Amino acid sequence: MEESMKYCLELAKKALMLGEVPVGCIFLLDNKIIAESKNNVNDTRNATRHAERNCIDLIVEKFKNWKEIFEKVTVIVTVEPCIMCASLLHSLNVPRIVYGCSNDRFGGCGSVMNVLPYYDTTCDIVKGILKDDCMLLLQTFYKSINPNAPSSKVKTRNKKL
Amino acid sequence: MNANFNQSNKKLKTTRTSLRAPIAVLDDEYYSSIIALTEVYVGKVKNKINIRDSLQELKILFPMPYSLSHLKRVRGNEILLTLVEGITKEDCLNIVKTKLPGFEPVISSCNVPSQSPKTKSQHKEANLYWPCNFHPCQMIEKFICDDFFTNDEIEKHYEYMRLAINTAKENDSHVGVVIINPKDNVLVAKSFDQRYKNPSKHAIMMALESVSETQRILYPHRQSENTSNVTEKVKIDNCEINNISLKKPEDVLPYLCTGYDVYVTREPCIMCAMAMIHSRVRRVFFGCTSKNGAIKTKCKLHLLRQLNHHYLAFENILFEECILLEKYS
Repeated sequence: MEESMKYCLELAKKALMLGEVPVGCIFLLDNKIIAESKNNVNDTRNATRHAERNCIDLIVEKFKNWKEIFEKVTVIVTVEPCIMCASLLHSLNVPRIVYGCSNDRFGGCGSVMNVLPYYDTTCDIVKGILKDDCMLLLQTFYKSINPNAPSSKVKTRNKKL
Repeated sequence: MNANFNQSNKKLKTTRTSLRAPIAVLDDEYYSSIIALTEVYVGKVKNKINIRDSLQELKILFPMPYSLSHLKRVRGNEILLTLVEGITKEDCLNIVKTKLPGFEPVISSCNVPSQSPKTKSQHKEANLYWPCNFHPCQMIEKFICDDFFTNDEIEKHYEYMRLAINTAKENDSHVGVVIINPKDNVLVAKSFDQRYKNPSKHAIMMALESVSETQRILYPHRQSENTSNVTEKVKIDNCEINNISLKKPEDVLPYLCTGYDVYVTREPCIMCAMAMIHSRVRRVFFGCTSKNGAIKTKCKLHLLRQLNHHYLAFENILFEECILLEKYS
């Protein structure tokens, strides 16, 4: 499991180099990687292009019987899937999700909301694998400024710009 | 009483426009008519004229609990002392007898609203128990009375929803979506459900995809690292733009779906509702509810406080036609 997570971390680092939120994800079928991807929100200018979604698209392209494939895969991702990705994964009956650090902003596996009860499916969710490494990457990103984000809406008092 | 209210409301509407205004989807707390109560001790002053002096002492002896900060301290000659929880009646009475000479030596317990009222009607109701402080939110009041949109706006919403319905019909789909930039009433994207091809290709996801595609084509240069770079780039590209004052980068380049309105024939699922939060959509209008809906039916995702962006959601535009689309599939 740690080996797979290390692989994801490498993907996440690549994302970071490209100025993306560093998240990496792989889909395993019988311990073999069938899809790997990273976050590319800024490059595509599509805020829904998360690593998990990219992997799902790859699998749908690659396999005709994607429906059955998804019911057997293990999803490994460096950061807790967001509410959107978590609900997509549950709607596909993914049996196992393994993630590193939790996501206090968007987490859909309990951090902000637990999406699982909304779907009549079961899912084995493992968290905390190499979570410090995963978190460190995120922190490096958020310390630098997101080049695509608009300026903050927070009003600065007593400051005339 | 409720029926009466609706009727009078409908009469109002007919004088405005024949179309029903979209209904805002707000937090349940704005609609609830049940006032939650909590028990407090109440004392009486002997002489109302001296109430001010007593209040000074009261602030020290019985500081107003934070959880009751929405309540007024005084009702006539009655004064709110403290929560029943945490002190026995005898102890409380003792303090009143020994330290508050302006008070009559009796106390009683009384039910008061435990939460601040959120709307004018809740305020009215809560005041029956105990007077409350309340500042109505103009926007919320207008939402609740369906008085938020002007006639022209309502007609526009119907027009765009019809576009969404037509998009679905033209493509034999059960869901249609259009995204509009309300600043200049431009159709930014339209799409329909294609989940048979790919499980993530719900209508809304497709529309968001198409918005990002358009932006990639129209603005091929990546948004640059800071504001000054943006101004420089624009200067190089076209000298005339030089004169326009560029305050923020978003004045030049659109950022995701900031400021856009989404019209979708049925209530979005959790995935799509969250995707629109990620994309910073401004308002979402949907025709009918759906069993997996995440804006009204199963949860109210757009009201989750922890999230970094929130949009307004409205329902009930061309409800009947949107429901029919569902039945087609």
